[in-house]
Amino acid sequence: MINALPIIWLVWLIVRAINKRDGSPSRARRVGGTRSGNVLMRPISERAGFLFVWFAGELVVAAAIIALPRSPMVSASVLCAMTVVLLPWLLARGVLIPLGLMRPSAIAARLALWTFRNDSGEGASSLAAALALAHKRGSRERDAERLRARLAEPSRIPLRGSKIAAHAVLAAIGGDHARALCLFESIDSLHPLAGAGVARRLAARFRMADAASRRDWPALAAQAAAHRRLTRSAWFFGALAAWHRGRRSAWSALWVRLWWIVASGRRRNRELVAAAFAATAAADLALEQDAVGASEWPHSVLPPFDEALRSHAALARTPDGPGVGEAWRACATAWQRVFEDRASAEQAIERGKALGVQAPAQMLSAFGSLVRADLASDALRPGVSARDLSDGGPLGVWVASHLADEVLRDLDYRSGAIHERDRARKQVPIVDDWVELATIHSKIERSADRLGDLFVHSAFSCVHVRVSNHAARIYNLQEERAIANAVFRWLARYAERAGDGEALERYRKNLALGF
Amino acid sequence: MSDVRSGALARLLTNPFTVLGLPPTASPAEIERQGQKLLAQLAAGKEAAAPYSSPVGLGQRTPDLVRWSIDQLRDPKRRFVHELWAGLPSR
Repeated sequence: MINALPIIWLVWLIVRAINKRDGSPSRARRVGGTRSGNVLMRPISERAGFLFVWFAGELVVAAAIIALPRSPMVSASVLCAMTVVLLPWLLARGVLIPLGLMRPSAIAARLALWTFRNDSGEGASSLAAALALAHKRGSRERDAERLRARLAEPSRIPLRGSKIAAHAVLAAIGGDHARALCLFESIDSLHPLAGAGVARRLAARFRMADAASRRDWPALAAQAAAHRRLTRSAWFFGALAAWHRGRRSAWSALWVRLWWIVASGRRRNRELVAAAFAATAAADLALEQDAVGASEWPHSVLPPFDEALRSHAALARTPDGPGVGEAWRACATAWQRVFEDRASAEQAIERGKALGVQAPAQMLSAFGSLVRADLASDALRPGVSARDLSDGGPLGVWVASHLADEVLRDLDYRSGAIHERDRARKQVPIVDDWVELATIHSKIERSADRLGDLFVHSAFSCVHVRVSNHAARIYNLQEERAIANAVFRWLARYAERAGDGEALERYRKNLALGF
Repeated sequence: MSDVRSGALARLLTNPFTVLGLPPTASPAEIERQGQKLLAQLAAGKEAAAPYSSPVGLGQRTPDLVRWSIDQLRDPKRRFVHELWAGLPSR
């Protein structure tokens, strides 16, 4: 009746504990560093309390079952109680959180030692309470305020995935979507041992739902592909993205419906499914109408303005996705022809003079700035790649350089603010610190593919000294090792891409320390 | 009309000439006349006066949008830029 597996684990843990030598030099246990020694000699890296709970729990269950015929009521009560002890997260997720019971959810999450084996205790209970709050009906301002105050209290427990997810849920409840998204995105940059699967799943689902609501199908497809092993929802969102990107057949439609049934959040996702199938006919009709409209302008226009304006309208009409890159290139090339055409510029200036404009050349130049601004804004849309910018002629080069300048200025400002704070020895709540670091990471990440290696090199040079010094500071002085480790992880990745061998070596050494 | 949200879309959709349904060659008197006519039709609740077609799809006229369009075209500098966006007519 007794499962042999916990006993084997127990013996294995005892052997490892006896063999433990040269553990971490600090009091806090470190994981995620470079592995050394064989499996029996390595310091124990994960909490194993859940094994003891299971072991003792199974003994109690066995005793209750043996005693069942003699005292059925007592045995049944013991079995019920043991279900709570042995499967607390199932209880929390299936009953307590949907009912909006914050405190019982938090207690159950604290007992869920297996589910939160990398991030148990305060993080687990905060996340469960935040999720229960999100499900709570009626007024929840007071509870939200109370939970926010509890999360803001100084804590000896380092910030990890679950607590970051709890902050994100609270931000979402408070309507701060940007902060919620930034925090959920940041969970991906943490070491897998620095957060619970529950937090990573929640983050993946939130990000995919966000991409679906923005109709950013390329991003949704990429995220779904990355999270397929983490959550069933990724299969649904992957099928939905494929549908919107043109893979439309009876089989694809069936696939979307099938994964909608299997994935969690059916009620929330129902609208997405309905919109996908309703949009099909409407989109086909719109494409037909657009195809007619594209060749028609209300009146005949001076060339080469005519082609530039038509391609500008076509770019504005093209939905985000694979077609935008081509439309953007065509638009940039057409406007470049206008900017190079002296005859049409002179005609425009003549018209300006006829209208009584004092400096028509200046107004024409202002018009050019508006065109460039539109192209720069459209270059940020999903579907425009680095190649589209480089193939967009001189205007493409201008837009790439303009976007890079804007991002670099922002990165310089943000990393400068962190540096100034470090120099003044000022501290902010660790979650705010993490939001700032995650924002810098996300800004580089979002622009890196679009703006290319030269941008990555400049961005890395701009931030890496200040950000790594700050990460070292929070690692050493604040003992917030999991998030410092995450910062070193992405800095190492960009050091490699930027070709900075010295920095890469330093970050690898820092990563080898673990967290 | 597709559901993209860009500055270019708004710029082409709400061009004053497009809103008023006039070519860029329209005289100030024509602009005033057309504007007043549309305002009167909208005030009378004439549904046919609200929709208008633009290079980026259908738009909906409102009294505020019509008034804004007339106002924009009274200023020569603004009118010049709007004419460029509406497309200078070929000779």
